[in-house]
Amino acid sequence: MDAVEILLVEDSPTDAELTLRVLRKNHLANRVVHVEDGEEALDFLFARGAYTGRNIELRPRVIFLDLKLPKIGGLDVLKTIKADALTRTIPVVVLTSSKEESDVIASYALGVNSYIVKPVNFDRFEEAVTHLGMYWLLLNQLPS
Amino acid sequence: MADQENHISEILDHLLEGCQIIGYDWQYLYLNDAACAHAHLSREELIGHKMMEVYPGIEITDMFQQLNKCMEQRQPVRFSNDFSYPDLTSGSFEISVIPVKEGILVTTLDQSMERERSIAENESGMAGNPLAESENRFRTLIDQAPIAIAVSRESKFMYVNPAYLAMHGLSNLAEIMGRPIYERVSAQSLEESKERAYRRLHGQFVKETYEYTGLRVNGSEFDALASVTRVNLVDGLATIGFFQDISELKHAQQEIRASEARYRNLFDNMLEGVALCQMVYEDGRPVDFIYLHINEAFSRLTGLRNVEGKKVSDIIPGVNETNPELFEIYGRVTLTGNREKFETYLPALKIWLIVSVYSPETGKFVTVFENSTARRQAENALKQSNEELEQRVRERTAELSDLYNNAPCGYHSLDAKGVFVRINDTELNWLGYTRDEIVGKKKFTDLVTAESLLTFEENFPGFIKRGWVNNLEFRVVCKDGSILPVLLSGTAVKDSEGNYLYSRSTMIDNTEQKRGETARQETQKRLEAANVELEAFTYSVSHNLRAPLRAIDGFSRILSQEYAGDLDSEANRLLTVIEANTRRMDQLITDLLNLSRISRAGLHFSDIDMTSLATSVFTEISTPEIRQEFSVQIDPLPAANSDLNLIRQVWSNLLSNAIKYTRPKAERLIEVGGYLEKDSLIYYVKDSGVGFNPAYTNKLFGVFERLHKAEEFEGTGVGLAIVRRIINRLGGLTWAEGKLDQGATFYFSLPVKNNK
Repeated sequence: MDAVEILLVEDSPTDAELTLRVLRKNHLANRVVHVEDGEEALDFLFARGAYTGRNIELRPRVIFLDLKLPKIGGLDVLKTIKADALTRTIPVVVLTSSKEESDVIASYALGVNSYIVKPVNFDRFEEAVTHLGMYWLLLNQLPS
Repeated sequence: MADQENHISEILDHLLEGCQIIGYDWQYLYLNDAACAHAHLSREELIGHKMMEVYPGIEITDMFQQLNKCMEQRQPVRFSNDFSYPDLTSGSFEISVIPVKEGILVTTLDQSMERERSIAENESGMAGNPLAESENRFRTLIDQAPIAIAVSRESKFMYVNPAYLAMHGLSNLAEIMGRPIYERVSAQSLEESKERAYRRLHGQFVKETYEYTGLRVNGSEFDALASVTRVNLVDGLATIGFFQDISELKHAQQEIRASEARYRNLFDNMLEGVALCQMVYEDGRPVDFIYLHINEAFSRLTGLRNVEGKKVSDIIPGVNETNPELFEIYGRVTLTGNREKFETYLPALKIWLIVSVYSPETGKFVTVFENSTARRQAENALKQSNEELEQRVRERTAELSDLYNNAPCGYHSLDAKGVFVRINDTELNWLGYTRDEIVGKKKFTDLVTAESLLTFEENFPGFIKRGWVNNLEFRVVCKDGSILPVLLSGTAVKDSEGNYLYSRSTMIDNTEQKRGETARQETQKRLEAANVELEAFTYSVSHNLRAPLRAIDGFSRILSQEYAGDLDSEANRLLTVIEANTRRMDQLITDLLNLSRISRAGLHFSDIDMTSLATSVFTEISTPEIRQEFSVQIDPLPAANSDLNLIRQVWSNLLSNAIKYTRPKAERLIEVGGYLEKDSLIYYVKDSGVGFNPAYTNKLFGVFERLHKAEEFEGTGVGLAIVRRIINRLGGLTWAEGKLDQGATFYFSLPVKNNK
């Protein structure tokens, strides 16, 4: 497998499609891995389950994480990612429709790098995702 | 010189006349032989002694007065004097007194010898006359008699004896001889004396004895007793009288009479009855007595009159049977002479008597008694009244005791150490103890939980000092171990110095309250749980509603973006409509979420600087362009005490409305102000915007109500509903004024004092 740039953890197919569309538009969709639940996300990151054999060193440059996920919830995924030395250094952007203060607080408490609320308005949505892609993939510096 | 003195002395000693010098202090300084002879004393007995020493009583004699006259006035005096010696002899002298430098010089010439000589001459003339001898003897008797004797003829003094002279203050016979006898009688006795004299003269009487008032030469009067009789003297009839000064006697008699009168007065007027009685014996036993003498009170107290001289058995029949003790006691007293006192009831007279009895002489006794019937009755009445009173007190105490003991709450009293000194039945029942187990044995703190012990220790000292405590919550442990929640209130009883004595405490069963509290707490918890649930529900609803909305909007946008070329204008318009509506729905969801959150949010009150709040909110919701376009005036607003976040929302909604509805106008004015009116703080946002039809004012604050078309003004119609709901929760009111196209003013009020 090639290097992964974005791990998109999103259970809604429509949201996923819209997000990918935008990324594609911006030529950022080349190396996007899309998983549909928290378990799969962790399997991928820790190269287990369906992803056994993956090169674990090939970490994504950013994880876009939805909170409302079946099986393992987004906050638990976040917790796991930030708890493990292997995955801690990967920037996590929570991309969720929840504006709830409690979710924001919880996320930052777990060490989230950014918290973005998905606008309903597509134009804004497009804008947000573009910015995210630009920022985290092109602007943000990661350790080699 | 000594020779000359001796020579003079010799001459003086040979003189017939007595010569004596008496000092100013009446000491005999010198006497010649004749003076000693006249004095019937030796020189040693006289020289150096005072005259009053030698002749006691001499100061009262006339002779002394004469000597004193010379001694004091320093004038020569000459007089005759009949002198009676202590040895009962007498002498008659002619006395001259002259003042000398040592005192007085007295010369005495003995005239008795003269008199004796003349008498002897007379006697020698009638020598051998036995009658004359007899008369002489009588004369001597009379002269020496201790009683005053006067002889008179035709009411004139013929002769008086020295005793008579002395009684009347006369010095010698010459002063009275031949004088009328009435001169020696006082004015008040004069008339009577004259009558007697007349009777004596013309009547046939031999002697009489009578009292009269005598008159001394110095004018003083005295009571006298006269015994007078006619006598046949040698030379004719005369009256001889024997007189006695009975002043003292009369005085004594008066005293006795006065004393008797006093006792009589007492006897007659005293309130107690007195009876002097004679005991009557039969076979040596006292069986009766005779009333000898009774006083007025006796009759008044007993109702018996005319009892003197009568036997009691006659006056009070049957008294022997009804009151045998009387005879017993009187008999004993009469016999022993001891005093006794007793109380008895006489059925015959229906009276109670308190009697004191003593015996003044053998066989007699005196009773002094008072009628104690009235007193006994009064005593009985008092006793009865006391009993009634005590009965009432008992009843009242029982009443109060009942009220205390059976009150619907617990009463108890604690001393300064917190020990029970008193407790009512109700409290005992609640606690399940007996009174013996509690009073004086247990402290209040022995019966409470550990937690309540702290409450007690914290509050008791303050209670003692302050004197009261109200509604303290305690949890009391009953005898069976169950816990009773109670409310305790109390006041402190203190002594006059302010020292704590004991408490008056009420204990109220707080079980219901506590249960209610628990119920309320549970209800509260349930409400909170429900709220949390609702919150979660709302959250999930909004999230779930939003996701599809996002898809609708997204995909239609993609469609219009990427397939615009393939679509005609109508198709594009349709897509626009779809997009617009999804956005609207999103807004609706947001607004609904807000609205529901308003109702559920907890309120946190704090002081709010409304002026700076309104200003900062305006800055937040507006852009620099808007701020340029608008003329905004925010007046100094009164501070409020309310929930900061909710008020912020209110300002946000009102101000954004103002901006929104004024933007289309040429004149863009927004005015924000506030003032205090009675108990409310009124705030307003006034704009120069499009206003509204006042006919629809009541719809303004309704949910989703709009008075303008959606295409004119965006908005879901929830903004004002939110404002109203917030303000209502905070205890205020909302209202608005406006005219079409002439702007609108939106008001909200807040209470000055926040009350939840």
